[in-house]
Amino acid sequence: MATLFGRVLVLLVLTLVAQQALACRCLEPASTADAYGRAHVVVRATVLSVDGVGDSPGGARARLRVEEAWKADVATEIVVSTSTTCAFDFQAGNDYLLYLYPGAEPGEFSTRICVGNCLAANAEGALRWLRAQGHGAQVTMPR
Amino acid sequence: MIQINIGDHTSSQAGYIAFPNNKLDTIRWARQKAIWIAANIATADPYYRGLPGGRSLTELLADRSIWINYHPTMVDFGETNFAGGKEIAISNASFRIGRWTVLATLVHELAHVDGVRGAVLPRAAELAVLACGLGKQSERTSGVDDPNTPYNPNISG
Repeated sequence: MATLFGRVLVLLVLTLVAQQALACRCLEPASTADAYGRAHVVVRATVLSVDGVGDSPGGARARLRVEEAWKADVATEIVVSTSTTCAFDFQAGNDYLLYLYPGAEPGEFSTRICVGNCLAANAEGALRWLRAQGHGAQVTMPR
Repeated sequence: MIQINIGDHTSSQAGYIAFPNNKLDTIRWARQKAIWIAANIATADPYYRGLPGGRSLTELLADRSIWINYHPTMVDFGETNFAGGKEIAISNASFRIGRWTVLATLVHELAHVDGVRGAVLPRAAELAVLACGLGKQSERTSGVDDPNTPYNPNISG
């Protein structure tokens, strides 16, 4: 009975709170400038494939095709890892604005939630800021 | 009882380390307060039982295989190694704000230990903070944080 009550309570609360899917305990950066300042490199990129699930053991690795970059030159195709309950939920085929950090492997990157990542379609203001204020970088073909 | 890493545990997760001596009183207070909440706040146990793992807050706090670790550099308040995992990290960012934020982070992360995936159950882990009596319903409905409570409707998770 108590279990049933608990499940009903959770469902009721969750139904009342329909917001963006998010995970670990953190606050989003206050501004695009703040997110840009912290990141190693910023990209607009499309997810080609995803291996694993971010908040499962081992995390996830996404392969992305970069369309635009800021702060540092990057290859046209990059690998981005994400893990723990702070993992970013990559979906294959989606176009994202991503704030990236050095990854565990050389040449790879990592990211998480609460660093400013979002769908490119929802990032009009941030992209406008980046194109005006950000340090544009080269998207280079791999050797 | 859920365990605090005082140097007697090596976490599988990089960056999850033992609490320094000057943080031990606070994390022990937070664990004890969470146990008090489980025994005295009527909404706490039922809320956790309704999460994917189905375990009450009382059961989670009694589980000796769950470890609370310290993370000195993480910008976020806390994280768990994965949804359903047993390695919690609480950051220095939580300690800088104070013991009630450390407590809120602990009960939030215990919701992830109980299986909450942020991508599937939006806000469910932070709502555990509310179910533990650490916030106001008006904060949830308005989306405006009251800085006098540890619950923050703007916090992800």
